[in-house]
Amino acid sequence: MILIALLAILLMTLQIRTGERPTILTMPVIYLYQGAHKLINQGVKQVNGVWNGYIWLIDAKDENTSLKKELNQLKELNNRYLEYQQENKRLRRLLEFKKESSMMVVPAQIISKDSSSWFKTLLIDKGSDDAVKKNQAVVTHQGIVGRTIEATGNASKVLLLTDLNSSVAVLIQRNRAEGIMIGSEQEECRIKYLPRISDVKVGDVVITSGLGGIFPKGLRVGEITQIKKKDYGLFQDARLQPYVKFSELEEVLIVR
Amino acid sequence: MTKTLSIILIFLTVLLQTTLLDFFVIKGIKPEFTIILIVYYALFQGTKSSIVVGGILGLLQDILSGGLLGLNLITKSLTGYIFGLISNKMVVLNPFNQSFIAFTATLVDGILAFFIIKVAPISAPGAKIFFNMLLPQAGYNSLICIMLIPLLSKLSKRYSVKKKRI
Repeated sequence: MILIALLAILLMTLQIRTGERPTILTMPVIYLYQGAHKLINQGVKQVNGVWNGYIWLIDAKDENTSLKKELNQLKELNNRYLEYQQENKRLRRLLEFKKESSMMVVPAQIISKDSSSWFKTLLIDKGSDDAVKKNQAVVTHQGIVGRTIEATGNASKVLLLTDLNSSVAVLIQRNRAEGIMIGSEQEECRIKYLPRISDVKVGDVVITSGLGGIFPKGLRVGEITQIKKKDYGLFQDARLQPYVKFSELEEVLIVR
Repeated sequence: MTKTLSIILIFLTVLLQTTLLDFFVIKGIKPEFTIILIVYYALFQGTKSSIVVGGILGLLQDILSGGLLGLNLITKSLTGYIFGLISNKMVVLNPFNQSFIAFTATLVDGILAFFIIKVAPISAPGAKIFFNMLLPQAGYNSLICIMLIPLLSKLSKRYSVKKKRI
């Protein structure tokens, strides 16, 4: 137990001091799990198809067997087609966003989400082999997702906007008031250091300010849902609902 | 339980924890199979096994997570140690008592993690997290534990019988 405790303290100290994780330790595990994650994700897609086919079979109880088989196959094909159509839609939106934004981007797929409830991170299937580095912005057509915090051979970790350790320089689109957006325990964010005198309203659109050098200026972030203004002080706080639906994310773009 | 089966279980638990368990998220709360596995080892395989299994599970979680490296390593192995010691003093065969132990183990793991994050120079959540995340997660884990521990016991027994025959 003492050995484990010492190892844990050593690892924590290393990460806090250097700001990096020992890749000798992390890379083989990520590589091993990446393959397994991809298999699981493919399996989930196939199970979805079978499940839909099964539900259809219950409806077609009275029909004859050959027709059932034929229709089942068609249903499965249709499911696949729908899956491709949805994927196509998502990729098309990303492509349009890529064209409009004129940014150099790398598309990536999400492999897995953080297993612990304390941190909000994602593992994506592009890494240093695709020129992905630490501290690059990760976006979708809906808005910004987060930033890369670690890049190994063919996988990277993304810190989501909603994580407590995330902070992004933002501005209110309508009146250009600047603030710092940080994560919270919930699926929303907080904006701190908004000047007290600036007129901020619920529903105001928030975009990135470009300060900090990670996120390009003008990317959509979210909408103000609540304003907290005390009777004193120089600043006011606000709550923000990000445009990105983190639970539904499947593909993202990494800004280079 | 043999080493091979333990390795397979550890690998599968972490794999499930990072993929399929996202389908079982209720209001942002995800069950932690890792804790249930630690509880199982603490109750039926002894303190040493639960510390080692907890440590490996925690380290794998840390590596795959983007958070503080070493956090789960220490909390999970300590949880294994504490509940391994408790199980040395008493035999817990009743599923409801096992479920209560899973509930408590989740809280112990969470409280340990909370204090380590507070001490480390990273942004830490407020005490609200105890009610918003830890308690619901402990409840969720205790419910799943009722189904999962008998399954793990059966698996372990079946494997042991096969080994004896050989």
